[in-house]
Amino acid sequence: MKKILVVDDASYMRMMLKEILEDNGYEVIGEAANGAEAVKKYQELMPDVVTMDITMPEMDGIEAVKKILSMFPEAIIIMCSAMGQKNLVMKSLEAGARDFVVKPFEAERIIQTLESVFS
Amino acid sequence: MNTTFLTSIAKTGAAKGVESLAKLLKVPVKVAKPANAQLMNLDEVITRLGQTDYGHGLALFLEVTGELEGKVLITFTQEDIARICRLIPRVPKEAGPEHPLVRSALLEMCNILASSFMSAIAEYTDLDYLANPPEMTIDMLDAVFISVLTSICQTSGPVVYFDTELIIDVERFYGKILYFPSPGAIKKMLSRGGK
Repeated sequence: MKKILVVDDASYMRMMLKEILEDNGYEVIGEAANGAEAVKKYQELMPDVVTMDITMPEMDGIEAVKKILSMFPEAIIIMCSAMGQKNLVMKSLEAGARDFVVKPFEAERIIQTLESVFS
Repeated sequence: MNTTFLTSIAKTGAAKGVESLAKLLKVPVKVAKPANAQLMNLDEVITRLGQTDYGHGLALFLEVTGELEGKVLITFTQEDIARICRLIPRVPKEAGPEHPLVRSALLEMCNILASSFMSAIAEYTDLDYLANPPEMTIDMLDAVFISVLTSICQTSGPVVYFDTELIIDVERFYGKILYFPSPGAIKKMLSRGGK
């Protein structure tokens, strides 16, 4: 079972994403509410994939992607962006994120994205 | 500013908002009446907002940077918020906006609405923006309006005022969305088709 770290400052969005992932056979092994927490949890938990929100307090998602990939270049990170964040999504992909999904979450799109990064 | 241009932005923003809210709340959402937008100066906004006693309500305040630098304010009345709380999936039905999960969902919902309208402005003007994490408060709306208008009066030019009436599931909700572009941003908007 693939292990996932869910990063989002909104507890409601973490809950909704966790439910979609667990309903589809993934294991959510941890959650983080900002980029700094995500970097720390990544080192502790070593998940197979991180779903990373972009706009967060303390440390944003792009900075967290850079930090995680600088320590673990093989890390697989999928960005979760709100609508209209095209530039930020581009920056995330340039920083090394594998793909992105737009919020609010659609189960089908999330699962397709995960399947594609694992294939 | 060109009325057709503003109306197009309002319609596109409302359409995006409706689509996203339907996904979030998992119920049908539609626009109750054609979306409308007006460009007002601060005095007009103060007059408009001063016509009603709003009582308690929810206000979301979002700062945006980039070419569309400015501030966005979204408000809903307490009565509407109470009804919206009952529509949020996966939260206890009796939970109010003070419940952490409900509060988080409301924040996300307002953030979606703000993003919908801001991304519509970005599309029509080909200007970019970056949204900072939003702040939400539940308070007397009159006090919120005074506080926000006081904080922006030195830095903002005209205000873009969106009127939005949505039907979420089967109930009508009325929200105010105000975008306070910086003087630089309004100049850029005007030069990109808003004249």
